[in-house]
Amino acid sequence: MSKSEERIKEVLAFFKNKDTVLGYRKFMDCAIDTQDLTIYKEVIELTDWKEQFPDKENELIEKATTILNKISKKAIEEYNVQTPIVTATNIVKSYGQNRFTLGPISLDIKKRQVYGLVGENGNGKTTLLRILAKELSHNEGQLNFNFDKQHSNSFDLRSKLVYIPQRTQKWYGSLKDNLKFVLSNYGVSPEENETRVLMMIARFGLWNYKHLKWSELSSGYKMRFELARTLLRQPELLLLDEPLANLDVLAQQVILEDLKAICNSLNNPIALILSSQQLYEVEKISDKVIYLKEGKYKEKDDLIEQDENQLIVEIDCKCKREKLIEIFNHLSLEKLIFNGGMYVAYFSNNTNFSSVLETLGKHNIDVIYTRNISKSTRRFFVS
Amino acid sequence: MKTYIHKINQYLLEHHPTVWNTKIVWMLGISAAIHLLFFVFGLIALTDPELLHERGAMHIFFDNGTVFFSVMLSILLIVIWLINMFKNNAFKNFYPVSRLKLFIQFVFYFIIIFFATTFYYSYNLGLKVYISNTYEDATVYNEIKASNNAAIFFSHNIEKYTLSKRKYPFILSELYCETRDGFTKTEKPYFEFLDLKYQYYSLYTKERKISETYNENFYNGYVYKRRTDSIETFYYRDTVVDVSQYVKTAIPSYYNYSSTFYSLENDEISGYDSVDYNYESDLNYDYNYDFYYDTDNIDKSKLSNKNVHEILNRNNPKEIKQILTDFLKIADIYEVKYNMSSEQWFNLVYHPQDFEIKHLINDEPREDYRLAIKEETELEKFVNEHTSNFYIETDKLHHAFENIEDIKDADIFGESIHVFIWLSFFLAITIFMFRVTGLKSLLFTIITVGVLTIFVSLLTTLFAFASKPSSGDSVGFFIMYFTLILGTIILAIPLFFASNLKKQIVSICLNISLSGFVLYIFLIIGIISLHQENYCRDHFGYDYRYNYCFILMSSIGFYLSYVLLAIGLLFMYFYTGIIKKWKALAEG
Repeated sequence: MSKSEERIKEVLAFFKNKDTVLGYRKFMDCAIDTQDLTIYKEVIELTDWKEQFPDKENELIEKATTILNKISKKAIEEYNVQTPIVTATNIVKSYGQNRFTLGPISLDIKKRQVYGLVGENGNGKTTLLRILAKELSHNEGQLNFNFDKQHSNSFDLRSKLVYIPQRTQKWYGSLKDNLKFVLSNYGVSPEENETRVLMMIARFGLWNYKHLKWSELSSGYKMRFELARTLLRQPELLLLDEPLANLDVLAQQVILEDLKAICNSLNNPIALILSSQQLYEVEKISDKVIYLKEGKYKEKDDLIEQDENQLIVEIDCKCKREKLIEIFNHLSLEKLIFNGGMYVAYFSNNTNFSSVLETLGKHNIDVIYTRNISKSTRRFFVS
Repeated sequence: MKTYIHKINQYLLEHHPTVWNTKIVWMLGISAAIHLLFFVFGLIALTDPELLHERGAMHIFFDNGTVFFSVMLSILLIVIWLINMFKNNAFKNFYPVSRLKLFIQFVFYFIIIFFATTFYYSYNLGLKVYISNTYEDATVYNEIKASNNAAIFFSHNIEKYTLSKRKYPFILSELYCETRDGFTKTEKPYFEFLDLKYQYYSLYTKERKISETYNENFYNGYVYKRRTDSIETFYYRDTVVDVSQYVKTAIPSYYNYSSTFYSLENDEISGYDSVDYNYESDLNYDYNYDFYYDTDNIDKSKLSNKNVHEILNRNNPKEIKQILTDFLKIADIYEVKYNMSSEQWFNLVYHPQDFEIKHLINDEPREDYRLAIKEETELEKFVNEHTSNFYIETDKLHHAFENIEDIKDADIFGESIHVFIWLSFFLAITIFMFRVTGLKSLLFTIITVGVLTIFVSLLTTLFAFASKPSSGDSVGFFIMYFTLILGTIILAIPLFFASNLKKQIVSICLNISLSGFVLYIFLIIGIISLHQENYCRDHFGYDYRYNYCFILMSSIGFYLSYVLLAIGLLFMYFYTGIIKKWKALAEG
């Protein structure tokens, strides 16, 4: 079974289980991959209908399934190049004498991969992203780009390095016109322009917001419009600085899911690097987590392998420290730290997380939150 | 309408993003509508002929406040345009932009600003079209001809009817009529009227090549001189000539009238063989010569006087009455005021016995009061006694003819086009700089230019202070060469050292290069011209050959403006590559 067939099957399963919201998004991803304007038009029409009749779920599924059948008949050429599109070798950036130095950093960035860039404030996340976007120069090292579409000059290269800063700029005028302006500048034919824009609007759930003004949008929708604009440029590399800032938890999840799905496009995959403070969410979708501490770079797996293979658990509960030490005593508790908000318990490597949960339950501890952070970069933040 | 505009906008957005973004279609459309409006304003501005009574009617755009309306509209239009255009910026967002596309953007700014600021021309075109259609050439020509005939009988100014003005028979124009008190030789034939004496002299001449040094003492005492390209001829009184066979009396007469009321610029008898009278004090020549109606043109005076003689010699009352009637009709057309009928006028002027001046007519309504004059000359007494209460405002008709001719002949664009071209060019450059490098760089550029100007001025002052007082030219050369070196360094930075300096600093140099390249070329031309001029002066001094030296700037003349514009546009096209390179630079 080909990947596209698998994806169509997955969408059908979502529809069957009435996971319509997620299913419809995945359905649109399948449609986008066809690059077929007639399919786009049908999806646009269906999205319009869906927004007019939000309660007619069964009918929607039925109509979507019909289109899905058409999609399944379209041949999709899969992208299978595995060479890195960005190769950074020993990149170093220093700000003056005895001041912050980033690097040396070496990276290989491939398409269809999501790189999560984490680290505390002031550790060089934005600096690294800006260097990769060629916004900022580096002092040492090599930075090579190997895009499928070759660039002819430095401006051409910059136009392929799509970087969205933390604070995006205000849009003026009609939102849709702004999106259409992107495509017309990229030489997309007038016949395709409107359809492709509407398809992107539909994909990012912006159908009912396309007639609003920028100032009337919430932060989440502003970020969505910004992403829509960015993706219309069909970038090969996407650099996002704190895209989750100012978003609520649900919006963060949706955006990350969308980004992941778009990166994994069958015929137009993207290499995505995003920085964030939301460790859990980022780690969940990232293929690779890059942890920056004092300008030095470590891949998460390398860091954890170097350390002892401990079990580290975060616990938020209304319980005294002595009580916790007492109940965990038999689980080879090595240390217990209270960082002001919650406890971080370090156990020896032969303790299981389930035993910790069992002990907490057995002693009726009123646990508000707990998480095994042994494999998460969060362990470096709380220690 | 809204849907129609939306449709056009969408079409432009999808097909021509630069056209859509720069709003050139709408701006040109709106500008065209305003141009049309100003054209209509121009058409109706001079519908009242009284507006032609004052000189300079062609400048009515400035006189009736239309200029303020035009400037305000231009500012408003440009501000609204900028607000709309600044909503999108493909270059700033790193959308693919070719060099040509960037250049076209600049050209669009230039065209838009030019069209949004030049309503003045449409207004003037309106004036011209109205005047040309209302006052057709043939009609005006006939009116002027009729007015010139009637002008014989205007009788405003006694000076025009005195014997010294007579030029016919033509022998009189070859002689010099001496009128100065104390210069008349009473033992020789002369004429007398009241306290005025007229004596005719033959003339002898002295010639001088213009290239030769002028020896004032040698040429002293001439009565008038003529000048051609290379020779100046001085005329001196010779001997008294008896002209009694041509002149019967010195009493002011219509026979003496040799002026022309109005002659067209392109009139076949105007514009040549004029003489310069000598008013120098060594002749004690206190003569209030009347230049007002181009009376120093010998040929014209001769022809005019001949015509006067022909009319008066025919002595046909009907013909003269017709001339006066025709003129009053013309006065009616141009709303020129008068207070007499043709019959009354005829009675004032028609005295077939030598056509002597018996009555004078005012050229404006007579004031009730009279200025008290302590001591009146005989002639003044004569004038006062003979001035009637009738008036006709012929000056106003003269102005009307002058205005009509000026407006018809006016080159609508003239030299003012250069002002509009360069205003548009530099405004377009400023907007382009803002769009390309951003507000911060633009502000820093303005500050840098200010600081550099102060620096150059201070250095020049210091140099001038330190150098000898006589070395005026070297100060000029110092400032020019220093600015040239400074300009070359600034130009070189974005071209060759962009990657070695901070992006912000490069952007300032880039902006200065954009706005200053034309001035840089102008400076080079200026330096070359100054060198040529110095060389020429050193070799030839200030003599006539000096005029034939090749000096770049003066030989190009006003074409320099167009040459610089072409260079500026060409530079912009090639410089867009550098702009793109700068934009792609990394910071830090």
